[in-house]
Amino acid sequence: MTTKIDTRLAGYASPVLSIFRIVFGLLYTLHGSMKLFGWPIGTAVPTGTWPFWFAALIEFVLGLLIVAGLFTRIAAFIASGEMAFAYFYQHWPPLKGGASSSFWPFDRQLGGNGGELVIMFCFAFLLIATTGAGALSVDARRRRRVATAGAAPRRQFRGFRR
Amino acid sequence: MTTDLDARLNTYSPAVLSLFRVVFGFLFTLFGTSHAFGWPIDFGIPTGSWPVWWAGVIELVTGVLITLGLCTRIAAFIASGLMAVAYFWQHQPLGLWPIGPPQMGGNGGAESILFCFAFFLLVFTGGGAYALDARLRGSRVGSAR
Repeated sequence: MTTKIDTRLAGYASPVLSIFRIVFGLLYTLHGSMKLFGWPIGTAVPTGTWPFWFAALIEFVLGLLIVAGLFTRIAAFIASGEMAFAYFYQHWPPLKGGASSSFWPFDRQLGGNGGELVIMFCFAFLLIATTGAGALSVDARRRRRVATAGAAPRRQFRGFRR
Repeated sequence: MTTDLDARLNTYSPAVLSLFRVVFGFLFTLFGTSHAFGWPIDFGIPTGSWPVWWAGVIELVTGVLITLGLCTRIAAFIASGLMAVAYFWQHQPLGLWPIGPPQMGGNGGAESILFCFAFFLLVFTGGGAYALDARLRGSRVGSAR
């Protein structure tokens, strides 16, 4: 009985993966736009400032690609790497040297290093890099067009079971 | 070529899904212990206070289950629902945008949203290759599917 429910739920994995991708992508894009343009909140970082302006540019562009589901795997892989770098460079900075901050990735005001979101984006995008975009994406649409033109449709994500 | 790469990446997805599950579950557990016991960071929540201390207890229990991959789908469903409630009850009234803390004009609810949708995904995918669920299923059926 449990197995039956599992199988039914697993049948929806691909569209849910897309919803998950869109939510993570949107929030990631907003983190970029908030540093690039000061929208929707915050103040814009001066153009060209290292490292924040460049980080914001990466977040904004890759975030839009991830939301659309276009070149999803490569975009998500780069985004994941950027988040790993941000964590060790800005939040828990053994790479930077000298700066002391908490080991724990919680809110800065409460005594953490403020990196919880960064960790979550990092591993979520790593997952998306291996699964691809799911059913609702530009990638899936493009693939369908290619598939009807005669190419092998092997790229399709077929669920998480081996 | 892209097709081959995609197919190869797909074969890693059950393992990476488990890694993702462990990271999110463990972070969630730490949020739970911080809310309920003030460790590792003291969130300053009095024991037994409604609703945040109780939320911490639920986070701790479901977080441990998700980290281990035991009853993953059910635990993830409860955790996802808890985060949805937390967002609309605790964060949404503070501001429109989830990014940034209230001091900056956001509502501080980004983590809630991310946890909510990450656990919602786990409801449908299960725990992945490395989970107690997968081990138990393997021993019951006689072969790891």
